[in-house]
Amino acid sequence: MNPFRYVKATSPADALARMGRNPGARFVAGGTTLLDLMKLGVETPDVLIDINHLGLDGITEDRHGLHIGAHVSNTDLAEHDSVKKKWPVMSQAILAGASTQLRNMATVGGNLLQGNRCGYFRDVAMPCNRRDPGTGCGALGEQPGVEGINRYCAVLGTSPSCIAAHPSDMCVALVAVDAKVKISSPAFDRLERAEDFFRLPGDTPQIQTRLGPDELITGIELPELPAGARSMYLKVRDRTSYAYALTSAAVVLTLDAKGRIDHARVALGGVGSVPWRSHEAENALLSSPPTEEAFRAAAEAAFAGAVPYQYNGFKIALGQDTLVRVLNELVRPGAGERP
Amino acid sequence: MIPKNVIGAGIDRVDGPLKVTGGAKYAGDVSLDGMVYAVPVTSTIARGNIASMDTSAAVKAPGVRIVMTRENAPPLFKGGNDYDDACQSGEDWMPLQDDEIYYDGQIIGLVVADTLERAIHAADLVETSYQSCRPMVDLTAALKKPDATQPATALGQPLQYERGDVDKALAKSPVRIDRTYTTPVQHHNPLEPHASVAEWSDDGSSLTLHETSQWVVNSRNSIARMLGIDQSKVTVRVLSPFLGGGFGSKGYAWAFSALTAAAARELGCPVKLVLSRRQMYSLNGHRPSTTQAVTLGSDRRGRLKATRHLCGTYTSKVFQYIEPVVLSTQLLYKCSSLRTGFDLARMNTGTPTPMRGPGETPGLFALESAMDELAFATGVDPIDLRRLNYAERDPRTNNRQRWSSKHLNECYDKGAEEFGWKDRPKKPASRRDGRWLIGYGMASATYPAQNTSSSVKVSLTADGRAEIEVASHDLGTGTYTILCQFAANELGLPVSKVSCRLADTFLPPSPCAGGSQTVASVGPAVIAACKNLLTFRKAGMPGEETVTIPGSQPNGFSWQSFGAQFAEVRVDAALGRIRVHRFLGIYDVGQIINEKTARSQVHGGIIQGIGMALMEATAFDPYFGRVMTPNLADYHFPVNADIHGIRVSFIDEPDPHFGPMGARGLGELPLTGAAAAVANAVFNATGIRVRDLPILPDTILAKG
Repeated sequence: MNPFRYVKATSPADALARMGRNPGARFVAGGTTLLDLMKLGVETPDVLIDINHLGLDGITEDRHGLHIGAHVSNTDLAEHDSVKKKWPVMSQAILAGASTQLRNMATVGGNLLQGNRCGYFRDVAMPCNRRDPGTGCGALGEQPGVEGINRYCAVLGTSPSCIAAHPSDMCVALVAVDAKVKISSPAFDRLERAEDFFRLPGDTPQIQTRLGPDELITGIELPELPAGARSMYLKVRDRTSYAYALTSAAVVLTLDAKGRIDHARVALGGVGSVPWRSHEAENALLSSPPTEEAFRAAAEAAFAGAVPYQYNGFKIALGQDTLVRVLNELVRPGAGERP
Repeated sequence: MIPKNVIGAGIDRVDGPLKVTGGAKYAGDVSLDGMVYAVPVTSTIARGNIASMDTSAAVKAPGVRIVMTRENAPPLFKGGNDYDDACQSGEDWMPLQDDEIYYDGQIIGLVVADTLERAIHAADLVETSYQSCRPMVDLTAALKKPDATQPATALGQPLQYERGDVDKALAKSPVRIDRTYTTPVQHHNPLEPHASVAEWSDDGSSLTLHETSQWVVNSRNSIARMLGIDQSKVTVRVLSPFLGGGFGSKGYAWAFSALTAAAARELGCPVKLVLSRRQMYSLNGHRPSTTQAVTLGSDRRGRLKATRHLCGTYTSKVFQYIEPVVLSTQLLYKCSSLRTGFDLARMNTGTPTPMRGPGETPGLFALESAMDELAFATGVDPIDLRRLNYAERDPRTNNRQRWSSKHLNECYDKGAEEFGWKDRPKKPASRRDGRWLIGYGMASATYPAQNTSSSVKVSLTADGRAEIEVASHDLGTGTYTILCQFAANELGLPVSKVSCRLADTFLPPSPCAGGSQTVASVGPAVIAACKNLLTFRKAGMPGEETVTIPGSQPNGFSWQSFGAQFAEVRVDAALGRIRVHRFLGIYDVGQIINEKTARSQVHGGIIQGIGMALMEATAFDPYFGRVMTPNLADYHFPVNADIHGIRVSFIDEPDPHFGPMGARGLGELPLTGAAAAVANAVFNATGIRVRDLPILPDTILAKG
């Protein structure tokens, strides 16, 4: 751990101004990722700019949807009446993540920037291109046939430089509901679709999002879901709570008057380098009757481009089955989610 | 018969209020005037040599008092390898004395600074370069290397063992089960991290150590030896009044304690060292992985004719620890032809050490899984199979020697009744509730009983208060409470009038709080001292009595505890999800002293067993040998949401041939066999036989 200075920002403009003066600074909100990574030596900021007091902690609703301040805690968002009623997939995804204590501290803005959970990223003694570009990918391994501990790694969107999976649950739901990220910079404010916010690793795995160094997330907007939409998040993990997703699926679905799927948004967690929007699955579902065959075809389409590694090949079948399960539950509720 | 109003009653922990109010001071809570903070520098490679260490930046960092490396460390000495004389260190080697790296996370330096944060920072500033080699962290490969050995014995019992003619009996057996089972590396993970606070007197004539120790007498002797202290000249005192769990990892003495004391000696002020969670994955032992080939031969009705159990496991490069895996196989069932074998490899890992139910826990996973496979192969009910092969007398003595007491059949009966075993799905994968397949499984549990010499002092005041003093330990298990119960019962006092001081080497000595022996060793000494005080008590006079009770000698009986454990699991096979819906354990451990603390301890063992079955495993990078799961987010054990419907019952029959109360030990027993009960239930639910722990979602998917 390195010595650092701590300052408190009083407004978004003040926070951005302070960041402009301190290129080695980091914003700190709930701190549930950043402080952890600082203790591990992965993050070594000179200055922490506290953004807990910018007045970004409100939730308002209008005819366009829900406007969520960046500093709303994960717990408050998950327990919000409108979220539970109109965006259940959001509430379910948040409550599937971390622990109560962490969700009380974590913020929705911070969760968009959640640090990677790959063991190689989090251990400064190990090679990791995401942490230290050019050092290699420990999860991929040093020698052919001797891959690293990559059971938790991604099968979609990986590159030779990084195969880590994106760890968030909430972000998977954000992609599924087509949320927008509100971003401020000294020059202007902008909206970015959640789906576009995350960057594939490619040759630059160290750049994880489209957030610029001089930008601040100020909020999230949840658009109204289509009338009659059903939504659900399901997560498969190694224990019942406090474990990262092996696989997860967030789906928003509507059926037309004839009982056919006329709107589908599908996002997958635990399997992608980023929260994984599957247009392939959506296209396969559109206009189909909600049958097991259609669901299976959509799941196969979602993983058509998947690349397995030594210890995570199971994620392809499990990811498909997870998506099929969610689709079945959405059209035939209660068929099997009783533990 | 001991009256039930005090002995056996579910009396609340006497130390409970202290713990919930924060009044209980653990080693890491100790804060002394002028105290400074030590942080170990640890290796980031698992095999090789230190080429150079640059400490210049660390030495200059703010608040740093000393940076110790091999260049300037004082000479330190091996801490002893003598369990019987209470001088048992965890490793037969000391850090900072040479350049060699034997395992990942090995101590290669110690930084001491005026605050913890400054010490952590300075430790990060030490630059180390290595000449590294590919470490050996693959058990299968390590077992084929020339440094693998076949140790003859463990704990005085033969590992390489044969009775009858196994090969012949196997050849003649119409039914054979021949399978290999594996268990992974597991870490104890007590919630309380290991800690040491060392304070020397100004003239160097005495050293006080606040330790996380399950055995303060041993800590004293072994740490003194590491430091080169002559105890006739320097008084060493070790205190460990409260422990936040240990599970074996705080039994033997570890080098970090001696380094803390050495730093305090160099600096002339008290030093505190608390291991980080990551460091706890290298520096205080673990349960080694095992690979176990079990062969059972039986007749068509399931009567065992031959048993063969061959285990491969490992130790580190700096200590010969033997996980005594095959011992329980030699005694659990009646079988006239039986062989056990044992291979011990050497690997570049931290040193393994006893962990709750060492040997029995991995061993019974294999044996009790194989018994379930035999039950399935013969079509015999798993309980009937065990009754059919019941060992009425100790099979190791040609079925001659009697057990001091054994009520395992009653465990089976009572368990079957309470669990509703008759409703078990007769065919695997035949019962479901929605998407969830339902299965029942069971397994036997067993662990030896023992006791060791202990001393105790009991003082009585004229107004009828008693105080017990003994260097025994309470790991959170209830020792404070049950010793008070013994004294209250003997002296005819309410428990509230009895107090107890523990875990201080200035108190009368007592053995390791390990091997499930505390009640059986310390209890008789408390009873004897109280009996000697009865005349004072009756006369209303003050008095005190110190007694030493020898450990009991074998008295013509075999001492062993038993149990039967039952699990109902629900498996969502498509997604690989497994839930232990309910778990029942029935235990035969003789007299129960405190029904509440006993139940609590057993709950913990069962939960640990569920963790072993379904999630616990330490992963090492196969190329670098680095521990890749060194925290409680990546090393999974059960959380509250994983645990449902645990029920515990005791046979509660005093053992007439074991100590004055007939109370055998309890601590380890519930973990033995528990994982097999879960795995057997998974088979019953799904038809999928998992022989490699843990049973993860991908395990089910791969085999489904």
